[in-house]
Amino acid sequence: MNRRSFFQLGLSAVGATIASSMFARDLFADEKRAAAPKGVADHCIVLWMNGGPSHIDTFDPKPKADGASKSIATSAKGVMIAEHFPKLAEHMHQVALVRGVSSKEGNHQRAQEIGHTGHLPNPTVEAPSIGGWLSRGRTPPSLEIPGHIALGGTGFGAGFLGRTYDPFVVQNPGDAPSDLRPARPLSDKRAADRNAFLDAMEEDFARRTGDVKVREKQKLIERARRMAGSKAVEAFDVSLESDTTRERYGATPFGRGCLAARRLVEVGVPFVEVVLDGWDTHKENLEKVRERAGILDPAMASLLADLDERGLLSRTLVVCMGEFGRTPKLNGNGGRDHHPNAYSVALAGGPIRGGVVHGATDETGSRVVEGTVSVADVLATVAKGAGLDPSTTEHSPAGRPISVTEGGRPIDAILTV
Amino acid sequence: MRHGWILLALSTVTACGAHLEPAPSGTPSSAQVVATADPSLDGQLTRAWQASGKAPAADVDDATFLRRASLDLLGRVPTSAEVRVFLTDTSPDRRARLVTSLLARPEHAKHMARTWERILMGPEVKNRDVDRAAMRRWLEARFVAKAPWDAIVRDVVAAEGKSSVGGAKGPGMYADDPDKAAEEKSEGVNGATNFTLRFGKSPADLAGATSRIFLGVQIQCAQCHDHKTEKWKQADFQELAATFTHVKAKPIDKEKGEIPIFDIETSDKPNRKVVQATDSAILGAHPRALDDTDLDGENPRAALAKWMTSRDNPWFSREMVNRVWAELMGGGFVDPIDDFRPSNPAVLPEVLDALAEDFEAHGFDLDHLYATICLSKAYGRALGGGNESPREALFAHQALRPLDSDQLLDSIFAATEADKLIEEKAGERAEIIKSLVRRRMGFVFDADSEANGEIPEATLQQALFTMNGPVPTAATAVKRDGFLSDLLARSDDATLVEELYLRTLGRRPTADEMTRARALLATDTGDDPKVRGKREKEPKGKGIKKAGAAEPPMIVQAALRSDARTDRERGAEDLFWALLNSSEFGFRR
Repeated sequence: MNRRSFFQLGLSAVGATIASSMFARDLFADEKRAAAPKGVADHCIVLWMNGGPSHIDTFDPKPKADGASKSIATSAKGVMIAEHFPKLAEHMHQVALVRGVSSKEGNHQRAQEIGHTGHLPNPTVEAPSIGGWLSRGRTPPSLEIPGHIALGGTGFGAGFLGRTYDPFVVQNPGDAPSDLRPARPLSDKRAADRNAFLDAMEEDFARRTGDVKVREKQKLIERARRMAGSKAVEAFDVSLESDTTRERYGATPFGRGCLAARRLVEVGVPFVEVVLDGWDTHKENLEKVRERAGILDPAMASLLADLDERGLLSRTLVVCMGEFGRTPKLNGNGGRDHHPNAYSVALAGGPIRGGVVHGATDETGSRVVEGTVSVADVLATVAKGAGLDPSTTEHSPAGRPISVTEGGRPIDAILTV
Repeated sequence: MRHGWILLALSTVTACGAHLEPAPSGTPSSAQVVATADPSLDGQLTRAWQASGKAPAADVDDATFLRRASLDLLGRVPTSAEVRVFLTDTSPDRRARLVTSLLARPEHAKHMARTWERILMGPEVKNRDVDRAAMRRWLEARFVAKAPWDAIVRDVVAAEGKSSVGGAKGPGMYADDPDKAAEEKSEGVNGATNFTLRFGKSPADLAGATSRIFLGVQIQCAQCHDHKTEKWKQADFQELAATFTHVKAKPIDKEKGEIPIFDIETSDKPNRKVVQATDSAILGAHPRALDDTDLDGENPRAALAKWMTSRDNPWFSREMVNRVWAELMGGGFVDPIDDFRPSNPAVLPEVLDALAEDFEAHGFDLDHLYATICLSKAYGRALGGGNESPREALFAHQALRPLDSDQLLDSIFAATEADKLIEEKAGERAEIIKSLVRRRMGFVFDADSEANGEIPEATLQQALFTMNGPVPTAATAVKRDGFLSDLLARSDDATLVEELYLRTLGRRPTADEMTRARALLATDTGDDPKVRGKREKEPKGKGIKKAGAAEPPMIVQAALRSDARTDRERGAEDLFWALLNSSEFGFRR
């Protein structure tokens, strides 16, 4: 972003005074930020496979299952994955596969909520998402853009932790966020004058009402201006990357999202979620999986490669998961139905041990036979790996103690911390 | 010379006012009975405040009262003409007449319908079978007809019949479409069935929502286990849910790309198909109400609706009183507003009981309930200022509250007449475009997070949207035929400033504000850069979470274009923009 657009939204004279005197540097940070233990990741990228990907046709191939995909060897000795992921296969020495995830929830919406919060849905309290927890605990004070970003989906809110930690949503991954500049361009002078006029009105109203909500609004406007004027906001925009790089990730919204996620991590964002939809393969499972894998494979492989090349993989935990797995048996339409009983999650980077497999399913992928873990365990692992103590507990407005996950225990076997 | 200006100003006022909405206040027609304050309610409040040492805040001035009542009852700020008329009214019963006339307006019914569409239908992305616009039209017709609350709820809970007239899915399906209303009528569609349809396959969810929304009883916690702190057992929940196992949603027409049509029926026997494996215990349960009233028979759902809405039901009137009180006062007697239980006691329970009794005695007349609260001593209290919530203060003061996304959009429309601009430019498509803008706003403002009476704090996205987004930008532009260009041509600066303050803040500017605003009008604005070419949008991928993804067509260059040529004209746009972005506009005070 150039200087002009900075001023277009811009810091007016009054705004600048308020910013320097009242809100100083900590507009996006929080007092709850704690020193993170050694070796943990500073960033987390969740690649959310919406719809529930078939574990059998991705990370837990089963030749004996109905209509099974072929398996291929990978860079991790003895670890096979489905043939649709030739590029990712080269990175399996960096990846831990958790093949014993098991849950009872076969409803998309509820399972998505559990997969993001580690809590069963409860109408009386909105449990914060892992992105909410991590953005609250792990956002560096110097970051001028939000610490929780959702690309291609709506993300999951921070619940009672407060809207500061809700996802900042970009619907078209790789695009700059909308409304950063006035819909009709203004002269710098004009933008500064109208901002100054507004700031004076706000100050007046804040004084007249003495209400903290008006002060909060002033801070919010300041954060919005700071974000729009920051260099970091360029991280959203993948058009600033070379054609070669963009092609490597794939010319898809998800590919652009993964590239944007890398750029966001580079400027210091602690939590990014990128959504790939379309895994609800009730019909023509194999064709659909192949097509989806064609999007996921280059994007995730390039993300791991780029993070590694930049020395960021050791500080960035990457998780690839969906809301449940799919049935080993094909239905009448050549599709697979919901199967929460057994499925897989892939983790890489940060303190994750690469090249390992935790847990196993039976010969068709129907049941977990070894190393059963819950969804809450997976999220507790992510929390611990990203420097947040999973036992951290806060009280909801109704006074109910809510932990990061509902009884989740980190899978220490795949962690180096 | 001075006189000349005043005369010009006055004539401008008249000219402005003349083509606007009909006068809001003024005596209601002779058939209409003007509501009155309830002295016993005020007595209760006064005694409660005295007993607890809460000094009631001052009474708000008339301008603030009008703005409050308009936002609460019509869902928008008053127009400048409405403010001017009300501020000249000096009769002692002016507030009572105002409230009475606001409740009688079709806009009130529209506002109620939107509110209840949100509560009953929840987030729009989650269920593709429902026709929420049909539900809204059904609600609006009932509110227009002044149907009592018990009748509305009975008709929703026991609804049977066709859910929709069908038709293409797409941006038009959420719009206010009078043709559709007529079509629904002639085809015998019952829009109310969409609440039942929303929970289609789950009697458990339908039971939970019905109990929570209309009775304020959160028995769904007992779905998986006996309630931890309350008397509800898992069996109670199963018996209630069993009431809904006779519901059958029969698809009549389900074409891809079309709004599906369902027939909601009551089958003789429990419908095994709708019950998910986890809910099998419900099938075996005997249909019973929360107080163990037997509901078994031909139509348990209709029996439940009757039981729920009877005058003996201890929860029904209290829950609605609590909701309306929370909407008007910024907090319920019981909080959260839909969570009545012994371990969550009400504040001022005697006031809640008296209001509930009065609501019942008046045949569940909603206008009566709204008027009673609006004319009570509590409603007209000024802001508290401190951090004590209205509920903690026993409603001895009100609190600043952000407008919700519908209030904000309808207030922007009322203040800027952008809706008229859309109607002029878009002709037949106007309602569709307005509904797209509304959905976009709803998405940005997260209107989906279903009302627990709380409006969440603002987000960055919202701040960016109101500062820079296309809607406020287009709405504040000087347009050749628009009211702002007209106003600029025929008014002096003082008149112009006053009109913009009245339109947005519902009050006249103070002397200081006038000076600052006039200085802005006189500022050299510099030259605006040229509008850049429209950015290409990439085709969107398939996805389930696309709500609000559609860019409002307001973004088109034409809507954003400004005809402002002078510094004064640009200054007026900037003043208008700042007023619309101000907290005083964005909050109900």
